[in-house]
This record gives sequence, C-alpha cells and structure tokens, in this order.
Amino acid sequence: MAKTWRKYENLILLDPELGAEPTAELIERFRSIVRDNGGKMVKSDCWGIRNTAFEIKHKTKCYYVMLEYAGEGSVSIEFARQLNLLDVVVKFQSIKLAENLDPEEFANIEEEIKEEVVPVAAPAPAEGNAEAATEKVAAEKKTEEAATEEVAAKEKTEEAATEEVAAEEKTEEAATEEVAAEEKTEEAATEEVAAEEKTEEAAEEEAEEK
Amino acid sequence: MGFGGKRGGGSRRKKVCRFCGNADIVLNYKEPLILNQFLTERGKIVPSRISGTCARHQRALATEIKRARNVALLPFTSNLQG
Repeated sequence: MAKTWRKYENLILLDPELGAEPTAELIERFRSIVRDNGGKMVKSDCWGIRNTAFEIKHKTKCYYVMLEYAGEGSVSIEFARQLNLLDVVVKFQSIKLAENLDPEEFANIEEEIKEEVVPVAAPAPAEGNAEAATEKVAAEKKTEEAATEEVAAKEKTEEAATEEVAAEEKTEEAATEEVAAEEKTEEAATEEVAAEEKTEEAAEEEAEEK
Repeated sequence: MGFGGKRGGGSRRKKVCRFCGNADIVLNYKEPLILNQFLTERGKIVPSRISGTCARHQRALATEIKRARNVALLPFTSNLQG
C-alpha cells in the first residue's frame, strides 16, 4: 500500500530586492522541487512585500510567499533542505496542516494560484510600473485592513460588554505599561494574586464602615 | 468582611472568550491584526485571566502568536527603551 500523504504549508520570506522576474522564477523552482519529489502543489499565494515586525538579516521588508502542497513526509524535508541552500530565502516556516491523507484525493486537484503581486523594490524598474505596483499593493493592503476593521467592528458591536471590560483593563495597562508592573503596584503590600482580592475586600469594608 | 457575598462591588461583568462567542474570528498566524489584539504594548501575550479567553483557545492563540512571530508578522518584543 502506498504511503499516506500529508499536507504542508510553507511561508517563505524572500529578499525584497530580488526583482520581479527572479522572484517568479524562484517560485517556479519551488513548484518543481515539490513536483520532482512526488508531491503536488495545492495553492500558492504571493503576499508581496511587507514590512517585517523586526529586522531579519538586516532587512526590514520581505517578499512573502505562501505555498501549500501535499506529499509524503520526505517532500517537506527535501523542500526545507533546498530552501536552506538559497541565499535569497531570508526565512521560512513549514507547518503541517493535515496527515494520513489519501494520495488519490489530490490526483485531480489543480493548483490554486492567487494573484501575484509584482515586487515593488525591484532594482531599476520603469517608473510607471513601479508606481502602479505600489498603488496596487497599497490598495490591496487597504482592502485587507478594511476587511479586518469590519471584523473588528462586528466584534465590537456584538461583544460591547466584553470590550468595555477590556478597555478598562487597557487604560490600567496604559498607566503602568506592563501587566506585571500593574500587579506589582496593586499588590505592593502583598505578593500573590489572591492578595489583590483581599485589598478589594478591605476597600469594601472601609466603605461599609463609613 | 467577606460574608460569602459578592466581592469587588458586584459590578464586574463576566469575561467571555471572544473565539467561543464569535465563530467568525479566524485564529490563524496569517491574521496578525487579530492576534495583535491579544498582545500587550510590549508584545507579550495577554494572560487569559485578563482577556477572558478560554483555556482551549488560549493554547491555540499562544501557538499561533508564536508562529506569527517566527515569520516576523508579530514582534517578539517592542522597541521601547528600558
């Protein structure tokens, strides 16, 4: 019996200064690595150039590529090995999405390719193209943000009660910067969390006495 | 004196897990804007006793935040001095 397949997801951070064509070639190379090792591409999604939350290898921006593929476990090992050999790959992360899958499930699946964003920071692109690309990226980002904002707005209306509580806590946090610091100041007299409640009780008692 | 009654003035609302209450919220490392709501200014994961997240979702949340940190979608720490 043939081995069961697993489904993996790879998020790859590429050098943003690589340029449009080499990036596209590289992504095609990733696909061929999966294919040559008996795997099957399920999905590919180029997020484009994004700011990173921190500096990685002296880079503050990276070109993000999401690849979803299925295959035997060896595919992911080989894929990771190949990624490690490439200098233009700043970082990558593989995640196993599912296991014990039947290879026949993927026999008729075609790769789903999401719109690929042209890298903005290409070395010397034509000005018009670069501007168009940046506009595109900006527009996409805006739509993304709008979507998340909508979600956030929904949550807010639905869970106004919990939000209020959270808001109260946030103001507390803002005052003291850190949760730990907050606790420390609150519990200056005692050290344990339980002590917090005790102080509240004491406050109540005082109120009652008054 | 804590006569077995309500503590803290009795006005405190019960915290609800936001992921249990709303199935629309996707808990995934690819959604840093949602995960960001569960980080402090310094980038620490907010404890469930503060956020009200249930144990099951808090575990998942921690995993996803750590995954997002790995690929620089979320910070490990802020750049604040001190």
